[in-house]
Amino acid sequence: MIKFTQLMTFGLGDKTVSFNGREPFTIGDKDFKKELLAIGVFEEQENGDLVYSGAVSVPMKDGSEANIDPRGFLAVNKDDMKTMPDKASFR
Amino acid sequence: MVYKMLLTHQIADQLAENDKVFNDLLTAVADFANFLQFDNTKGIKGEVAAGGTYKSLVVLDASNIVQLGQSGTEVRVPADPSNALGVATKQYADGVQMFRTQAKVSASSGTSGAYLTILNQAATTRGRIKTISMGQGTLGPGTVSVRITIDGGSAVTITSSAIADNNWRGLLPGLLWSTADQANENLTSTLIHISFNTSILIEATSANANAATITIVYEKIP
Repeated sequence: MIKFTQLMTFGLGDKTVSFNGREPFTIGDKDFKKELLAIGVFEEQENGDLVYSGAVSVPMKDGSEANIDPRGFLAVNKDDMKTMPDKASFR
Repeated sequence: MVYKMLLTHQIADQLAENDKVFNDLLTAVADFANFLQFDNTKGIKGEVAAGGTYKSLVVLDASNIVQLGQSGTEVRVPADPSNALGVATKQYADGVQMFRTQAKVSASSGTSGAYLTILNQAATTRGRIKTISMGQGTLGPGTVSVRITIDGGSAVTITSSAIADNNWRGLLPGLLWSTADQANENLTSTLIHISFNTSILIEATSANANAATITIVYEKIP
């Protein structure tokens, strides 16, 4: 199992938020949180934190695509992934 | 003797209170024409005391302008005012809401071949994508790709030619990437319109380790 740890930044207007893979993060600004949820790629957890829930597909050497599960894990061998210089986005 | 003095004071207080109430009644009667007839040539105010200060709830002036509340007060309507508004008012509210939901979403990461979902609107959504622009990071040159799926159908993938470091391309009408590098998003020159009244999914990736950025300007119609 490989974990998806890619650093991503989302911005709306003049506000941005950065997070790693599917790690939960806290947004104190209620309006910004509502706007982030409206994009359709975040889900709110029971404690109010957000998590990136957008689909992520990773290219494999055999030409297929593997999907990262909701917990941020990829059920493939790293060597089977298509060669990418930044495999640091997965550990 | 003391008892009689206390009784005298008590009666005097009662009389003073009666006098105040009577005066209030006289004032109310004098204001009846305004409060009941709503003669706006006289100016109508509804005020209540908040924290010791009278503040206006509603004012109708001689120009037929209704002012709700005043500075320092807040006017609230139901969270879903649809059933509380007249048709014309609701249309106006919908229009305002449409403009409010126009958003510019940008996402950046070392996408490196993995498709990341940037925008995902459900099947009940109506709206349009106005612009899509993608920028290359500092480890270029490299290509970027955007993948668009409407209503769960076949995905359309559009891949740019190699973009130099710190430059941008925009998606043009016809769903082709612009071919000249730009120093910034330059969204006005890369205008596209993808109308949708079902679901839409937009994913993005870059071909190498560059920290790529995608910017989407879209609006939803309630």
